[in-house]
Amino acid sequence: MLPLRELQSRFAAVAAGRLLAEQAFADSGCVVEDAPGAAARLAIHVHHFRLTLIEALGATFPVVRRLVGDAFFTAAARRYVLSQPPQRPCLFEYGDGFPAFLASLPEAGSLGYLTDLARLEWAINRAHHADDVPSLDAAAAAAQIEAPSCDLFIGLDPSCRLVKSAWPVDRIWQVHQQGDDEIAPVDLEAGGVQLFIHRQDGEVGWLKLDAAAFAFIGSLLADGRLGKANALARAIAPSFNAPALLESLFEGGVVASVTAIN
Amino acid sequence: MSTLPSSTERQTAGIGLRCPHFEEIVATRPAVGFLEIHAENYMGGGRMPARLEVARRHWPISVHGVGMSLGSAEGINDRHLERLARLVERIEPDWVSEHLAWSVVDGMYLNDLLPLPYSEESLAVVAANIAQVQDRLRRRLLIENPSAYLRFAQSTLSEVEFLNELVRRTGCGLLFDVNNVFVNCRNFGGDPLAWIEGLPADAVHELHLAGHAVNDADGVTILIDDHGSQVSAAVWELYERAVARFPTAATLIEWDSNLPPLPVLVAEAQEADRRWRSVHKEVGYAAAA
Repeated sequence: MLPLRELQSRFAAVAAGRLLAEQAFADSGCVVEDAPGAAARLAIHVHHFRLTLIEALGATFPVVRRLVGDAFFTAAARRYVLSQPPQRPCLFEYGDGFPAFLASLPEAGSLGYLTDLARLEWAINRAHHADDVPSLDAAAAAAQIEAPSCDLFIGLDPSCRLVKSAWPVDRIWQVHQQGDDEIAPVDLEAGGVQLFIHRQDGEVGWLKLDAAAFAFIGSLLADGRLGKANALARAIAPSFNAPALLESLFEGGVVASVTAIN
Repeated sequence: MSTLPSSTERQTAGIGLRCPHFEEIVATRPAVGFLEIHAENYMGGGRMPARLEVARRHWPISVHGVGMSLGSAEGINDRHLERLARLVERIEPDWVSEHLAWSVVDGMYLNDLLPLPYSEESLAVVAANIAQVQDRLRRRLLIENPSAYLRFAQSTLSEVEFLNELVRRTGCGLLFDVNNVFVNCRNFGGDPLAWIEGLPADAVHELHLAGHAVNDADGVTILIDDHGSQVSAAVWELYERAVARFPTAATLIEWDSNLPPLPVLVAEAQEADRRWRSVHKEVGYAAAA
């Protein structure tokens, strides 16, 4: 008799394609050989595991799926599911590694923008489902800072994400929100974009940023330190206007906390 | 707070709350008794929990988990339990239910309700996991009987014996899935009526109804519980026997794949109501409207 833990490990190994169903329980005889046999019955679960997770990835990366077509997407997603199965039950959190996995496929190299587009779709997905955090307005932030301090810590809303691409991925994403007959051509020579994705009033959208603003927000997302973020941005563009950008972040409701660091 | 229907009032069946139906449900307010959600879809922020806040103003909510993996020998995931606890605190549902199944091992979530051998070892594992969830939520959990496509030779208890023992050891309630019993009895043999008779009637608080698919595997017919069609005639007959024995249980229509237009789902709920009323007239439970 197999201990339950061992039985469950073998089941998972079959689902992930690391063990044949015929081998998994053959020695222990623990699955009843009702016709059409234990392996065929196990295959029902294996099929469900793979199919439903491929569908979940398709729901999270719909534009990637349209760009590469169903057949390629299903094959790629299947390989991803087997190599990086979900670790947690909330499927809106599944697919973190899918953009990098796509980049590793030799076949995907012909679509240079595919990986960046996948990163954009992942950022949109995470922004949709990020935890709800109350936002601060500028007056409330000012009231929190009573004493003069060396620096401020700016905490951004968990929905905030950055995506940078050498391709116009925002435009590619937008035209693929239409039906197949209505997809407008995209000028791939139009240049790259630096996007700031966030959720505001329940809706996910993005702003196009210049290099300095992109560095500023990236630095805030990394450690929250305003002084450091400002210095980085000014090194790129001496005319960088931090107060104006901060004001638009407050207006967008994406500042969650402001703390004085002494 | 509104409560699920009981035997002293006219029984009104509920439906699953599914994303494509949300706007129409809130706009048309169909006369269904309650809405059931899959807990894992509401564990993040943004639009999904905001919609649920709207829905709970109009209907009682039942939270149905699919990812707790109560049958995992490695124990349940504390972080997932905390997320469920936060959802339950926020929504204050009438019932919280989970499955007699497992889905997590070795850091992998298998996205399926996988079958357990019904052994003393499994019983100890599941009972300890249910107790941990109930302690954290400070409420009774309803446990649903699963559909199954394979059986374990090392089972020493029947599913009915296993469920009875879980109720005895943990004080949990039961969610009786009529379609799953029908599917399992077709797949492996067995008498669904004996199944209904064998459960502790006062522990059953909710009934599930759903459609199933009929598959052919190498010439053998296997029914698959895919929640993708209308309730079959045979399952409706079994439902009538179930509501006779479990008159206080609330009924839910589950439909998760090939989602139909909302009116089709509501009509299924109304059919459950019609059958509940006809059964209770026959056996003498007055619907004290």
